[in-house]
Amino acid sequence: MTINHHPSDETLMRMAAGALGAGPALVVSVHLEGCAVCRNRMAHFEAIGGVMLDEMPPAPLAADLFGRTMERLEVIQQLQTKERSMNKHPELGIELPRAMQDCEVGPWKWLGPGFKWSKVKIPGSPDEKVMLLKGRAGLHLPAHGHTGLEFMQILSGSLADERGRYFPGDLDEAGDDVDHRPVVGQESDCVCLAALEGDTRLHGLLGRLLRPIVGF
Amino acid sequence: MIAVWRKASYFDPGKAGASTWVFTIARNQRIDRLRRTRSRTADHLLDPTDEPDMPPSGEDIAIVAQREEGVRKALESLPIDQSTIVRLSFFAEKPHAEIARELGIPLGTVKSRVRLALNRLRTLLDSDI
Ligand SMILES: [Zn+2]
Repeated sequence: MTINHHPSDETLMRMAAGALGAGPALVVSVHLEGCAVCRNRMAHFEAIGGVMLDEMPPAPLAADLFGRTMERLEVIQQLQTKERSMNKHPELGIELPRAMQDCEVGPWKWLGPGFKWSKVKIPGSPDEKVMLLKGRAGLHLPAHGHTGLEFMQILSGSLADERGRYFPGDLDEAGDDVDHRPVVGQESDCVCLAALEGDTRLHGLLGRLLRPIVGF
Repeated sequence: MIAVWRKASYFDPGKAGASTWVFTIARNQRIDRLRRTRSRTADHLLDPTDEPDMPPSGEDIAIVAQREEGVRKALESLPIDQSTIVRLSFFAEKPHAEIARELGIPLGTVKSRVRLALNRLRTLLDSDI
């Protein structure tokens, strides 16, 4: 599988720095799962963090740090034995990426003719704007723009807009300079994972359609 | 600190150098704190310690050392105004607008320095892959 659309360097840098919100970070994680090129770039950005950390002046440590560390280690080990997750995914008809295994994913809900969505909740980050979208083959999505960044990872099928065509594994990052009208490929339904960053809102018809139903 | 101890047995020199490994753990801890509960989505793929244990080959270790050396050289070759901005974006978790205010330069300048720095890093680092 050749991947033609990747997250920007700036997005990968923010991801490596831990500065990307949970929603966009989830979409990028799904992309990294299938993209060796970006995993390699990510390793470089993490190495940049390591090198810069190396060059920072050392901070003095408290004298009793060792004892306190050992105490906390025991507590953590006790807590960890209790932790277990259960299946939170209804019958969606698709296999979810590994990166989504701890998310709570809702059932498909109607959004328009041939157009469905499902709410994705990230544990600990309830306010993130993340969802799965499913469009039937050939569906024309309403034209829309964004006030900030929109991240979209194709899970199955394909999507095309004025800028190119997106296949499974591709990640499209669309900023406030992009107004587009995506069309689902004719060959099959398309499922994608989408996240809006921060207080990004959609404008145009799609925004008006989504807001009352999806809540953003 | 505590996470480093807890994960020390997972340290894999075939995946990342020691300081990069400490950096990723510190970062994941910060993400966990921000998100209040432990979220594996952040940890999962980013954390080089999460993979099944396989002894690293000499080749893996050499690749990691080469990567870190390349990164160090690339950072050194950046003009100071660009590396400052990369550093601030990395460690101060500051949005561009705040960096601009702090350095007393226009927002557009911050953005273009980030872009220049990233382009330069990409050119330097992609060539040694
Ligand atoms: Zn990629």
